[in-house]
Amino acid sequence: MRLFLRYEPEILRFVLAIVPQLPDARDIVQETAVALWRRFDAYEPERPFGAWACGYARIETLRFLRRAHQRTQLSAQAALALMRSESARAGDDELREQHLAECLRALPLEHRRLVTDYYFEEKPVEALAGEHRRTIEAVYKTLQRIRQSLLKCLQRKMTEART
Amino acid sequence: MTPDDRENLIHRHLDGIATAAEIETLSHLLETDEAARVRYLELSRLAAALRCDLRLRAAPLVVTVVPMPAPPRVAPRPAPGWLAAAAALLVCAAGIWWSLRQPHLSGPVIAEVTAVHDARLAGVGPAPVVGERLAMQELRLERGEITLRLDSGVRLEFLGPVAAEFEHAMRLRLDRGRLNADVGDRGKGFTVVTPSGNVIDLGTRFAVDASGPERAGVVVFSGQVQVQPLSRQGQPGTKIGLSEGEAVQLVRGASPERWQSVPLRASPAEALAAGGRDDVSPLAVHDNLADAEQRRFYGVVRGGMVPGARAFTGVEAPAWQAVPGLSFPEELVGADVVRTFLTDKRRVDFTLTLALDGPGYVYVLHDIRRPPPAWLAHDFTDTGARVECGPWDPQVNIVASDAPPRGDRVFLACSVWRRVVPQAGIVTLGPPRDPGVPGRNMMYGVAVRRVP
Repeated sequence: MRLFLRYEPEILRFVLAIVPQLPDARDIVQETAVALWRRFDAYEPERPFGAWACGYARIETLRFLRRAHQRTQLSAQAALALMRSESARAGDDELREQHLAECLRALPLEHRRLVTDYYFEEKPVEALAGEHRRTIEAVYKTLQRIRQSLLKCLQRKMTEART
Repeated sequence: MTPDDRENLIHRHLDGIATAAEIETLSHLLETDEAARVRYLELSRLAAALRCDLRLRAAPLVVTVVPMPAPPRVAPRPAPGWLAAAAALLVCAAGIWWSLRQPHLSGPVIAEVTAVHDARLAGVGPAPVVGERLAMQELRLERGEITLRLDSGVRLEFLGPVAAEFEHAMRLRLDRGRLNADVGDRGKGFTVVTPSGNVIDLGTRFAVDASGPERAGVVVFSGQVQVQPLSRQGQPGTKIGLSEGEAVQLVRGASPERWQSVPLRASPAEALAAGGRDDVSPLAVHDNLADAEQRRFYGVVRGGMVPGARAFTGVEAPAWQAVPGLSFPEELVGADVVRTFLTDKRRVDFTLTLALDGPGYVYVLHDIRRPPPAWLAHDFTDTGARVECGPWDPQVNIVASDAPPRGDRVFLACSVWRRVVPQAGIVTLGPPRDPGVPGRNMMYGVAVRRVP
């Protein structure tokens, strides 16, 4: 249990990269937790728990995608290709998160408010459109621009940190 | 498919709004195109981080106003069963870990509510009440007014709508809206940051108006501030000092401009008025002073002409009064007041231009001890009404033997001159006296009554 708690954010992040809808991702993480609980006897303590747990998350994610293929999810083949690319990336999550926090703080207040409402408070876009007096499409466009802006900022900071 | 199409497709999927056909297209793209996979993973990892990893880190940055003690924030959608409990524990531990790791991120600023008027704060249930202590970082005042006193002694009056954030107890970011600040000795150095520039207090009373787009007005009522304009790229420029009676407009990427017509509240103590910019700026006032360093402002008080209305900018005591034994001229009551500058009393080349937004009457209140200047006698009509301006200390240099004291104070009688303005337009007033006229005189007062 303690190990799972420690690695749960990493597992969730892994799943979210393939299945971006949070309720679906949480379901997958929960299925993963159940699978880990059942198979914990097979875990060898000398192995990294995160990698072992993500192996089960990968299975549960693909299982979910095959089940959900008809309701607007990526194909299992696309997910497998993403997982292969994902496994090749650098493990610099902590530094990225630190930089991302700085980039968030630099956003204009209205954009930060939108990030808060959408990502942290999980408000539906329809409600945000009403609160911000904008169309739903405009809110999605703004979110798109915010993500692009954050990514640009993050990449700049990562490049600066490496040089 | 263009890069933009690809980008839109990824974002639509991340937001859960892609159609089945779009998902199929995206899946095919991700199966076959490495560059698309890289971009997808960049964006999806960012979204994933926002969804979970940064939740606690960002939350203190965007929390609005909460009564003290601050209630703990609860995860909005709990996961089922033991996972939910475990996640809650994890969330708390991560929060503590983060707060210990990030001492530079200051916590909420503690403030006491000292006045409230029809205030509605976004994200807060009942309106705060006077005496309530708040832990606050972001302030979103949808309407009304709220006055807060920080523990540093800084007193801030917010005039809604306002979007602001305390970066720490001595630095406020004002993205939108207006505020009046009264900074005590302990608050010296208090800084207001706007999208157009920064205002650094040097121990004073001042106001900032960031309600207009791309510019912020700064006005100093007493003491001094430093203003620091920002370049188009956001780099801070050279600081300039502003003193009592001065005001500028900060425009991002440009030199500060003199702010001549400042909408003020109808109170003896100068303070920026509430309400929309159009509501409180009934007329624009401009003088002909060419000095580039000149930054003084004219206070414009909508509907402020009543007995006791303050007469001048920068001088608190003298006010417009009824002459003893007479009533205050009825046609002046409720007119807009332009608080002129007493120091212009001897200028013979002075002009003051009023731009009216509709028909109305312009009144000039002239020191009755001196003959009316030619422009006043020519363009205006003496209504026969009289008012007084005072009290003055008998020692001030505008008072002479022709103004005998009443008790230990002097009141100067003024004639009331009127000009009809049939439609929106410009009215130019001349100097307070003609060249060669001997004796001391007071600067004239100005009032404008608009016809609905």
